[in-house]
Formats: sequence, structure tokens, C-alpha cells
Amino acid sequence: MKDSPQDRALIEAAQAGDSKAFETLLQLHYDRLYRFACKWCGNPNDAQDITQQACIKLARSLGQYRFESSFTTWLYRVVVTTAIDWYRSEERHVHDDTEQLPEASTHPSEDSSVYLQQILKKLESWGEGFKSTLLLVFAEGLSHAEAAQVLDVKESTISWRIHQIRKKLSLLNKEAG
Amino acid sequence: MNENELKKLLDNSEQSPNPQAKQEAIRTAVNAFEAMHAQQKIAEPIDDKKTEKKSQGLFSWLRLTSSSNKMNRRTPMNKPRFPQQRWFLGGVATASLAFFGLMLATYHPAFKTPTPMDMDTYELNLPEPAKKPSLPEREIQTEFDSAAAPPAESAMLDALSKDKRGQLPDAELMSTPGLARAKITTEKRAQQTGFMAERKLMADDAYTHPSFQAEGKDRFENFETNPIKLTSEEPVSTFSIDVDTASYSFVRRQLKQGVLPQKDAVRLEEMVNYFDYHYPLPDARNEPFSRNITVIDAPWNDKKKLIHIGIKGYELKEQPKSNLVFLLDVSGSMASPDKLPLVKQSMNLLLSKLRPDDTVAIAVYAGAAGTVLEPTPVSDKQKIISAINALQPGGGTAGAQGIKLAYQLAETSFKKDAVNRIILATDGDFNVGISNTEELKGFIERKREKGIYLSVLGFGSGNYHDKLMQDLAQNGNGVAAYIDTLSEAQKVLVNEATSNLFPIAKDVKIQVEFNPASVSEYRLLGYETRTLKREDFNNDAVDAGEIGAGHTVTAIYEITPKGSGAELVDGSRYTKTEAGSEKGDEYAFLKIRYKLPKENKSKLLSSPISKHTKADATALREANFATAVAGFAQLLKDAKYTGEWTYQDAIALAQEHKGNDEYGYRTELVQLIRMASIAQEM
Repeated sequence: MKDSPQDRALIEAAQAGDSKAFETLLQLHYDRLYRFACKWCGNPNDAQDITQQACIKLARSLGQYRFESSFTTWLYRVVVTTAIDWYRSEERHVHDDTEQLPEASTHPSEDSSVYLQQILKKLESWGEGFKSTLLLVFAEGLSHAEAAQVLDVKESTISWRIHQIRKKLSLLNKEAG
Repeated sequence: MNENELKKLLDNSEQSPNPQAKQEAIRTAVNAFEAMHAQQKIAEPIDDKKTEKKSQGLFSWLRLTSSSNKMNRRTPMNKPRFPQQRWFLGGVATASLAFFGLMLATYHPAFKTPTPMDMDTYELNLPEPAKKPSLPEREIQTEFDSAAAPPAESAMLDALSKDKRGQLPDAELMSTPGLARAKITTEKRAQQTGFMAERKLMADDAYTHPSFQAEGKDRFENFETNPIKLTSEEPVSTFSIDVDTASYSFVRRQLKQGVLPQKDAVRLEEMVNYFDYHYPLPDARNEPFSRNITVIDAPWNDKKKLIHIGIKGYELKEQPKSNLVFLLDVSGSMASPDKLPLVKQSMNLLLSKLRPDDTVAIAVYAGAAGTVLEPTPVSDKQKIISAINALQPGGGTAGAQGIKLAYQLAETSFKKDAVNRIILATDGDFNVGISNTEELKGFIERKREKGIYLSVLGFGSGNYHDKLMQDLAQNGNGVAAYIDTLSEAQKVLVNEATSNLFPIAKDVKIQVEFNPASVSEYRLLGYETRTLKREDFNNDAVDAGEIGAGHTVTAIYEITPKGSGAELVDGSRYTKTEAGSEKGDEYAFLKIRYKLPKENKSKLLSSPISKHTKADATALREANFATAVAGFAQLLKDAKYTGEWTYQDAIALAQEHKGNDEYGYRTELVQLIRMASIAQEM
């Protein structure tokens, strides 16, 4: 993933304090963040929240971006972190939100979404990092190396996780069949 | 489900963002962005000129603020830095407190080196340097000051290093200030020895201060009493002789304090060999020792018999030359009156036994090792005595380093025709510097092959590391003696000086083969820590014990004659007992292997032990006394084979056979048995 020169100019301007440049950056990349968040939580309301959080986080931490990795990688890292944090705080307040839960099921593609979320839940139970690995590699189409950069682990770890996911999913399949 | 299905699911769950929400999110973020930059602008009004202090906010990253409380710590961006880890600051604080507590707990006034009071005024009494113009005045002064005032030590070291270091065998080892006090080189000292020796002796009295007494940390090797063996199953018994006496002295010390000794401290053979037995001297020099075999009834079971094997080395007509290096532990733990002061007295005693052309050197170790006296002929006795008397305790214990230094000294004054020996005096604690005793033992072993032997004198109790002392002495072809009183020092270093210093045979091994036709069971009394494998007897590479000039060594076997009815093990129903072999009147066959001190090939002596051994009255008396000691040792350690026999019986047996008892050692044994019986009742 190479940053476009346009991105680079915008980032440098935003780091210097240009709020217009920052806004443009967000306009360009919001959709990508939102889509990822959507897949993460399977719920547009939560996804909006997560994306907003991620945007605010970007505003605060853009100055720390050092062009060492590509900007997209860095964005993914921010949104993954935000999503994990958001879920944790959500778990803590889960009783507050119980009445809001049915809202999610009003969506048309409800069934598949619920099914996906079940799979993702399962993935989470295997351990840290499986869910984000799956989303980054399968849904976002990142290479193992790029996913490794986002999650700050070794590339071999990502490959191993993907291998595990494939193996276990086929097992799930057999059980279901 | 396969991957494709999953990907499809993922794609399906994708939804285009709500533009309203998008704009709202972006607006919020931009607001946050602007707010942050506005703040930065206020904080840095002149951006390009960094006027703020560099140190400002230097430690803000250490503060545990809300921003440092990252919820997702696994993500590297959020990882707290090392000193921000929750345990770090608390850990540092706890460690400081623990260290302070430790300092408080270990501080003890007795560890402090006392300042002799009568030393300060010395330089006034000094003769003018004109008397000896080559010696600068400053040196004399610092030298005396150094004995009194620690701050002057480094000054003295400076003075020393100018002209003296080159002469010392190991300049590096010498440079430790902690030892500077003891390092007054003898050349200069000799000029003042006349009055110095006197003053130092007086000062010594002032050093005797309330002592530090460690309790209950004496370490002994654990061992089991030799079991009864069946002659038919294991007819051969092999062991190495043991001339050490440390166990008896240690047991005596414990008993005199009114407590029974630890069982592992009781080594029967060392208690038996503590006493000198009147065995006849060997006739010829080609056989360095006489063998004396006596068979008596066992006092604790009249159906059993005791076979005494007594060995006596020949006496030297002329004392050989010796090159001794004393290695003294002067660590803080040696301060109590029964340690370093006793060491000094013991050394003075030993000096009286040496020939004028013998050499003596003294190395000390505490926090570090150093030379106090370079090899000096005994004819210069005054110099040696004053060096001994100048010793003071203080510091930790770096035994291994000290041993290396002592060997260096012994090598510099090595004499081919003399006995080269290091005498290590310690309270047994090598608590600094040495982590690997195996390595140390290997080192001593290699030096032994070069002809330098090592003996160990143990002092004090409470922290006595018996096992290590035994190991060192065994590997160094020396004796391990335990010195608890001045009379014990007299015994070990004066009366038995020749036997303890001058070996006449080394690697002495005993092998006894019992005759299954006449002996059904046997048991070796003691020597548990010295047993050898049967095949080691003929293997000259296997190390064993030494015999010194005039030494006596006694080994006792308890046997059950065939058909006596006292067998503890039932006979086998199926094994045929061979009927009446032709050597039916022999109990056993004794074989002894030894090497002469300078040789590496062993010689063999052998003789049968007959049922009808005749013994004269003296031999019987000696055997009975040895039996009393052995019985006493068994009562102390493990009375499972002595039946109804009591301390009172031991007293009676010892009293009856103590002979003329020139030095009173045997009478002392009787007293000790009484003390043991009292301690037992309590």
C-alpha cells in the first residue's frame, strides 16, 4: 500500500496544523474506516460511534505519524485499537445498552449479519487477534505482511492465524453439515 | 463454510456510511483537531524559538495520568513504557525499604574493627629517621597509623606501592585496602619488632570483645551407618583409611556445652582414631607401617566378635624439612575468642616444633586475599610472631581466592626435599567468591600432584562447614582437624606434629575378604564416608587416605561367627553352603595397598586373620579401649546394633582399659561419656 503524493501533502499540512487539510484527509478515508468498523461490529450504530472515536483519535495523534508505515496501515491500526477499546468499554456498560440491542436486527440483511457476528464471536473466543486478522486479510484484502504491520506482530503469526481460521472454519462446516 | 462464503458474508455486511453521520464525525474530529492545535499555539507562542526549558515536562511521561492508563495494553501504541509499568515505582520503593531493613538487620557492632587505643601516640616515640635514613619518615608514620586509623590505609598503600609491590608475588591481590592493615611488610616491621611485638600483644588483649556467635548452622554430610552384610553375598569390604580427628573434637565441644551432637557430626572412625594406640612399631623401613590384628568378643553381644585392624606408621628419626604456608581466615566471623585468637596461639605452638631452616609464610583472606608474611625462615622467629599477632578479623570470606594465593606462595618457596604444605585455618565458611566447590577441589587435586598438600584446621562452631573441610583435606592429602581448645591445638600441632605434617604413605586402602565358611555376617564400624568400590582397591588412580609418621589408624569389624546363633539375616534355603573349606580356621584375609609419598605405584601387604590370633596384654587393652570409643560413637549416632549396651557400660570399659594415659585424653573420653549420658537423660 503506497501513499499517494496527495495524501502525503495533506498529512504534512495537517501535521503543521492545517485543519482544512485534516478535514480533507478524513473525507477521503472516512468510508474505509466506517466499512471496517461495520464488519467489526455488524451494527451501523456502533460502527458510526467507533468511526467517530477513531476520527477524534486521529485528530489527536496525527502528529505522531512518522511516515514509517503507509498511512493506510496506520489508519487500520488506529481503527482496530479504537474498536477493541470501544468494545471493552461497551462490555463494561453492557447492562446500559441492553434495550438498544434489538435495533440491530431491523436491518434487511439481518440473517447473514447475525451469522457473521456469530462466527466473529467464535473467533474472538480463540484468542486475541484472530478477529482483526480475519477482517484485515479476508475483508480488507491486506497481505499478510501488511496485516502484520497493522497488528504489530510477525508475518508468520498472521499466516498461522489465517491457517488456524481456515482449519477451524472447515471443521465448523463439517459440524454444521 | 469456506473462505469464499465467508468473504461474501463480509462483503454483504458492508454498508455505505450514513453521510450525515460521516459529516458529523468529521466535524467533531476537526473540532478536536483545531482545539488541540489552538492549545499548542498558546503553549508555544514563538514556535521557531524554543525558549522553554529543556527539562520542563521531562518526567511527565512518568506520571500516571488518564492518558497513560491505556485500556488496550497489547497494542504497542498503548503499551506503557517500562518505568510506567505499574510495578516499577512501587517495586523501587519496596526494594529500597528492604535494603535499608537488611542493612539494619545485619549491622552488628562486633563486625566493626575495633580501634586500638594505644596506637595513636606511637609516632612520638619513634626514633628519628636518621637512624635509618633510607626509610622516609612518612612511611613509618603511615605504617603505624594504618594499624590505628582506617583512613590512613590508602596512604599506606600508596607508600607500599612505591617500592614494595614489585616484590610481592601477586601485586593485584595485594592492592585491596581492606587488607592493608595486615599487610605491613615484614622488612620494615622487623626494625621495630622489639617493642612492637610487646605492644601488639597488649593490643591483642584489647581486641577481645564480645563475640558474634552464629548458632545452628554447622553443616555435616548426611550418612547412614554401615549395615550388616552377608558374607555369602558380599564377602569383600573395601575402604580408605581416615586419619582425621575433627569429629571427636566437635563432638567434645558439643558435649561440653551440655548438648548431644548432631548425628551426622559423629564419625566413628574419626573418634576412634583420635586416640593414639600403643601398637608396636614396624620393624623395617621398607614396610612403612605395622599391622596388628586383634580379635575380641563384642561387649554388646557376646556371640559376636570384633576384629581390630591396627596400623602404626614408623616414627621419623629426623624431622624432615618443611615449607608451610598458613592460610588464615580473618573474616569478621573469626572474631570470637575460640577462633582467630586460638589460631594465633596454635600457630605460635607449631612454630616451636619447626626446624630453623623451615620456611613459613602467611596468607590471609577476608573480603579479599592478601599476603601477610612472605616465606620466611623459622630462624627469624620474631618476625613471624609479630606478623601473626598483627592479624585482625574483619570483612567477608573469599576462601577460594585465598587458597589460590596460598598455593602461589607455596610455589615460590617450593622445596623439593621438603614437605610442602598449606595449612588452612577457618571457621569453615566460604561465603564469598566461591560458587563451585567441585572446581576448587579439582584445583587442590592438581596442586597435590605437584607436591603441595593441604591440611585443614577447623575452628569455632555455629557455622562449621564440615563437609567442605573434609573434602578439601581429602583432596589435598592432608588431615582435617577441629581445634576447639588450646590443648587440642597442642595435641594436633605439637604432640602429633610429625604425623600430621609428614606423610609416610599415601593412598592407603584396606580390603578385607571374609571367609564364608567361618563368618556369616560382618559389619564395618565407621568409615561410612570412606567406602570404596571393590575394584578401586587395585586401581592406583583412586585417591585414598594418608598415614603420617607415627600415626595410628584403627578399623574395627564386627563379625558373626558361623553357627553362633547371633545372625540377624536368615540363611537362604536354596543356596548350598559349601562345606568345610580348607581355610576353615581363618576368619578373613586382609589386604592393604599403599604408595610411598613420592611414588605413584602402589604396594600390597597381605595377611590372613586367623581364628586363633594370639594377642598380648597391651594389644588387648588397646583393642578394648578402641571398642569403648566405637561403642560410645555408636550410642551417639545410631544404637541399633548395640542392643542393651549403655553409656555406663562404655564408661566401665574405657576406665578399665585406659592404661597409663600420658596426656589425659582417655580420661577425658570417660568424662565425655558421662556428659553424654547426662545430656541424654535431659
